[in-house]
Amino acid sequence: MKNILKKFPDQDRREFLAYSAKTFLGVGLMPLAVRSSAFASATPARMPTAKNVIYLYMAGGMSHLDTLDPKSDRSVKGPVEAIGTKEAGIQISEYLPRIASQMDKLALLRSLSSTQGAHEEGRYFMHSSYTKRGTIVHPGMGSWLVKMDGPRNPNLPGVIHVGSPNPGGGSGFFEQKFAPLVIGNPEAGLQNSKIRKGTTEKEFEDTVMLTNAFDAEFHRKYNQKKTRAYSDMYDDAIKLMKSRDLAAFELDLESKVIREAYGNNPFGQGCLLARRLVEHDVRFVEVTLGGWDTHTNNFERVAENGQVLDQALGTLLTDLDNRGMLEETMVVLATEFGRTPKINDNKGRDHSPTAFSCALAGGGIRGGQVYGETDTTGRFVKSEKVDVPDFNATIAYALGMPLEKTVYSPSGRPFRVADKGKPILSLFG
Amino acid sequence: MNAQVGLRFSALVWLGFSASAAVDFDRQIKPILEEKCYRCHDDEKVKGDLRLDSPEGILAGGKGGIVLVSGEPNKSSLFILTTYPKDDPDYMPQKGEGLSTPEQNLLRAWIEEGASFGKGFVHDQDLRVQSKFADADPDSARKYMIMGDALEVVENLRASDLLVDTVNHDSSLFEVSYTHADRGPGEFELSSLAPLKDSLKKLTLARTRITNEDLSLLSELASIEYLDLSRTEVDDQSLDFVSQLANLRTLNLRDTKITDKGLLKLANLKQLERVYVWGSLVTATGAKRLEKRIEGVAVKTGTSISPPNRGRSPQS
Repeated sequence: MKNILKKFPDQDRREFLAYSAKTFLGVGLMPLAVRSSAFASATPARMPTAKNVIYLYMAGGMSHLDTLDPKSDRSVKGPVEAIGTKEAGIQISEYLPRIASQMDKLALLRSLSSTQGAHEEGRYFMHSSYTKRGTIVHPGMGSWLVKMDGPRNPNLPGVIHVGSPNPGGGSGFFEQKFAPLVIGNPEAGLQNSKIRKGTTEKEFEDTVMLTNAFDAEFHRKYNQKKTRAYSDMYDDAIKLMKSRDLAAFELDLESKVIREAYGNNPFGQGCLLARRLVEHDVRFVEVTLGGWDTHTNNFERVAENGQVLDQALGTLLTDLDNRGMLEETMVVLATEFGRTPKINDNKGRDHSPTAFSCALAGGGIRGGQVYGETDTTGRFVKSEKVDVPDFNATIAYALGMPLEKTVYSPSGRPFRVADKGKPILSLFG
Repeated sequence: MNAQVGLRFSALVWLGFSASAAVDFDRQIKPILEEKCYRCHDDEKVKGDLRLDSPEGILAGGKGGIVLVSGEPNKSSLFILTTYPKDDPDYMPQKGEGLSTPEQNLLRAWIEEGASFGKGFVHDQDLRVQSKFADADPDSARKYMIMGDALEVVENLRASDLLVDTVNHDSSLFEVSYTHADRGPGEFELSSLAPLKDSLKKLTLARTRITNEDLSLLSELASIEYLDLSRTEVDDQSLDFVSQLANLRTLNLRDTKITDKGLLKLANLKQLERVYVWGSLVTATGAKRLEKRIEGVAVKTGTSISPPNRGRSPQS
């Protein structure tokens, strides 16, 4: 190290910028010694080294009381019982037995608190760390990651969403190339990704050349960012079509046992797809499971949904661990808000953003811990409150993203990956 | 009261001549701040820990960081937030009437011209270096940026399709991945990584066509702490070379042909913490044997994945 870094040429500002353009996009300020920042007072026991994220999003507001933060108060708990987990002292809902057996890998955060109690706004806030506003769309974590750090597989998109895309989770004001690829149905594979039957490779190449010839004049005249983005998209699509990495999308290549273990439903198969994609160095894969907005019939629906989640996440954690992927892959379990302790007339629970639960695993997270506490009703946070930006800052920190780096939108507005959120360093190591 | 009105008036009058005259803080900017900002940012109500009722206060900034970057109005939240649409959550002022366009222009001009507080006031620190959100803090930037000789080495490696990245954004530590470089057996030239010397911490050869022979050059890369050989054709012979990596902590041998016998060759690696052997020929017995020889190591043979509970699975 001393040999390489002996010479530190005095960089004047221009050279400095030139180097930054050549190496990474933008300059980050998250060195190991974060001395100059507000978080500098502590560094974690062990530096996290997450490279990729599998983000499991529970859309609708998952009831924390019936899943990760069960209560003993009779008027609150309804028919749900709590069960022990692999970690003595931690109990979760009986609806999640597989996850319970994997508790040694998970960090439960029970003290999430949001200011947004409506779906669209809550989802947006959770995904982007900023509140929704009419004037600009903020990018999601996946797009931030690929913009700052680049994709690791040149042939696959850096961000992929399985299931419906969520507000605040897109590329926002970043360039189009950081937009997520959306896959509606994981079992259908990637549509329109193979050369049409009957067309030879040569014919395909000729068609492409012809198209480029037609477009050449247009590009010469209008060599703007947007038109370049359009042709970049084409080039990427063609690269993808020819790539062996296309096999990542083919779930048929997995054994029947594995496929069944994840669960024969879109979410389960989506989680399996996520594992395959991350194995092929896709950096951020989000899989959404809806149906958590249980204003009516809360317990039956949470039981059903919980079974799907339990099956998929339980299997995913084991699968990732077996492959050694939990070293560099962070698994996130998130939702937009929690639900009320009061059970309404329709046997449902309503929105409650003041306190809810999320979970993290892998990528440097120390498993088998609970962070934060709610009161006996689960309505309010009692200790160690985690604001939504703090949650996102923790993920960004694990990925090595510069939290203090300010990026300017095309209209000149300053934004950061997790706004003013502060990472929870005690979760690592 | 009247004096204030008078000052405000004169501020507006000055606008007509502002093209040539420099903006005067006391006569033009301070009245704006007094009228629009002091309500929340004076010595009584220090909202956001920010006081705007004195040059020191303005320079010190508040909870959100500094609010004034001399010469750069677009980086100064003192100015920028007043230009947002009124219904934006970050818009300033949050109470009372906002700044009119002429007032915003004055503020911008004042900052552009250097944000001078008038004769007699000396900035005792360089505002740019103070900024929490500055992109040019020389020391940390140096840590993040690969500079000097290292840059050339990295560029050369990248030119040959290798992925070279810093580890956790510390530019003194590197990781290299061959996974997408499409090298054939014998083409790996691991010695080309030698210039990275002590800085090479992680090496990924997963899913490549690397052979045992290619790995014979590993001994030159003794700084490696993390090695990924998963899903390659290597077998026990390769571990003769891997066992020379005295600093190795994490080793991924998943889906390789490694056997119990080969695994034992790692017994001298006292820093080893985790070895992944799922899908290889290593058995539980072999795993335990290594665990006995190295204190604190976990040899992960993997957990079998069981099918779902029949009774409770919902119809999909």
